Amino acid sequence: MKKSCEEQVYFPWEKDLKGLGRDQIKELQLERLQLTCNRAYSRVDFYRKRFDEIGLLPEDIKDLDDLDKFPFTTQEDLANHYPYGMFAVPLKDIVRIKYSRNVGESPIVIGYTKKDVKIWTQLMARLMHSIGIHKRDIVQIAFNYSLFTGAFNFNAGTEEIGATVAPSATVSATIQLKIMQDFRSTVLATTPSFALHILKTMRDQSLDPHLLHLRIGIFGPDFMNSELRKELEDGFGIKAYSIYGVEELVEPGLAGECEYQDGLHIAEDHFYAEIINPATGKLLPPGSPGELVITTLTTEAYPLIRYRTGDITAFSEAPCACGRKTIRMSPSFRRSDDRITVRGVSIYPQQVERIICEIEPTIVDFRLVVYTTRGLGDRLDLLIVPPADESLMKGTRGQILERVRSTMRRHLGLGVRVQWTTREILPAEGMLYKTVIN
Amino acid sequence: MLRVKNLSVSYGRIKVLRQVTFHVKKGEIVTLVGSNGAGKSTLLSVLSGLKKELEGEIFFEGQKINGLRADQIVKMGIVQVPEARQLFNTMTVEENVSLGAYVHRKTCSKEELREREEKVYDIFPVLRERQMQQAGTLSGGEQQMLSIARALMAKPRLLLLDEPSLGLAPLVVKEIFNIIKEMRDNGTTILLVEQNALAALKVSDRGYVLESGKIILSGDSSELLENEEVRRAFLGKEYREKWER
Repeated sequence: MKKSCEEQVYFPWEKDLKGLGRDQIKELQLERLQLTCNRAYSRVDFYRKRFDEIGLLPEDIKDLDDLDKFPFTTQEDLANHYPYGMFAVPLKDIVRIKYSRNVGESPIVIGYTKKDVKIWTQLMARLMHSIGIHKRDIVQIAFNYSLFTGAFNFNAGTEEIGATVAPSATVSATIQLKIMQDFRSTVLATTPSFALHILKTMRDQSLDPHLLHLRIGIFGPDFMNSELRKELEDGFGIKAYSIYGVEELVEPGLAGECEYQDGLHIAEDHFYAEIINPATGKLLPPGSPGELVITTLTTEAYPLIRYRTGDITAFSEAPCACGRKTIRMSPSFRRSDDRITVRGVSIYPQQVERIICEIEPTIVDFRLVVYTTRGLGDRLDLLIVPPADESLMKGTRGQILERVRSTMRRHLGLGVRVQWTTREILPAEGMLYKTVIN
Repeated sequence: MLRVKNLSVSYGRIKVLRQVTFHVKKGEIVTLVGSNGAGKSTLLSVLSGLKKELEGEIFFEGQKINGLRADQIVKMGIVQVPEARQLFNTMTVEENVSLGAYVHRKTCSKEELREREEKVYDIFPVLRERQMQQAGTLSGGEQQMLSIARALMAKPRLLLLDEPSLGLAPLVVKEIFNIIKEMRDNGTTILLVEQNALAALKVSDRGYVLESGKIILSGDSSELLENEEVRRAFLGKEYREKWER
């Protein structure tokens, strides 16, 4: 009795979760979690030491709840093991290396084996397929590929589905619109802020949206608030979906919305997700907002156990109207750390502090001012305070200003307006958000 | 169909299996790959009810089968083809085959058993030719076929194969594995334990890699065949790259 035709018609990215209820998903997760712990213990020194320090063995993880005994992995842990300390396979098995920015001085380096690359491609294909992208779609991918190398996963997912990739990258909004018309793009994949900018350009040029063939927007890494989503949907005549990935893991596709746009389904066959109180580290139940902690279940090169993402979100285990049984996370608009995002670029105040200290250590204080549009960081100003005795500075005000501006652009990939100010008019400690009203 | 959760087995103070969790879905061929001493055969002994001292849980079609007697487990449909055949060497092929249905002797009619025998001889025609021959005088490959035939007589729903390729010539191994594939296509779920990872992964749907009693890798067999760790550990130098052929 060969497999029936019905059984054969499924998509490869569905097969692990197909037909599984919540209990069965948890069983699969336990199986994969134990495997991950076994591998991490035997292949990654950092994790072996961690297990040994707390007197735990991988075989002590008998249930998903037992993971609570294990300490968290942080960004600093990853950065401290630059370059290859966290890899579970030899370098010759790695087919792709990616760097991500972080709060520390050393970059975080992530590696992928062939299988890991395939997993991420499948996850992206799954998400794209679940929002209705199919073979005949033309997907215009308007990300900054050099800054956000995860954009290549959009290419991979599109090709996996069999749709057409139109990689428009960061050409101007005017050219984006031309490509959209000439190639009849049906899907736009980009950051919400760039999408908004393209929309604004379209209006400025009095371009009739009916000339476009767009039907779907897939946006990340920032989340859209409801106001922004509505504006993009109405403006382009599309359905706009959010997609999520942990920046340090580089690739998007960890979670994404389904056609019902009611939370992002987490790829639970590949990740075990927890929510913790960021201050105490205690686990929180579904519904309570807290910091998302991720454990990888299938990645070969880079197992991560209880990685603190810094993103504040909440879970829902309630069944979704789409029928999928995976838990959903709410869009994340807050962080548990100081990271800010401007036009899709993540910046840590600590990075800025390091840059300033390197250029002009006599600068006594600084502030970052983020201007937002529709809840998205749109513009960044840097206010710096000179020392009382300016003769101590290495250059003139103008020279230092220019050096800081160009270094910021080089290191962060973002144009920042830098201004001198005085202690007296410097805003209070912390970050100040100003809303630009159009 | 089969779900094993947190299985830990020791021989005295030596831990042979540590928190092994895996599953086999109906209609699949799943292979357990690992070198000598990894714990593979112990796992099959536990599943067959031959070793009862264990921690953890084993579920067969939703029912917990920890602690059941070996014959009860066979009756439920889990049948093992043991390592190194373990035939009744002084008995004939026919006697070995008919003994395979021993647990069902009281519940099945003579006609049904005869029908089953015919089906088994259809799968292994060479055994039909040698029905009256003593099992111990058969070739290695024929003995392996007889061992499988005997197991099939018990109408397994889950067939456990312990190192079916052991001591067999490569061509014979190929033939045996083709038969294994056919059995799966005919509705038998198979858990295959093998040191010959290449042959096992080529025929199976999914695989798990056991190392020192722990599962350290799992995935589709096609993926595992390409996995560098698996290739280094099990596939050796004979496995050439596509472009080297």
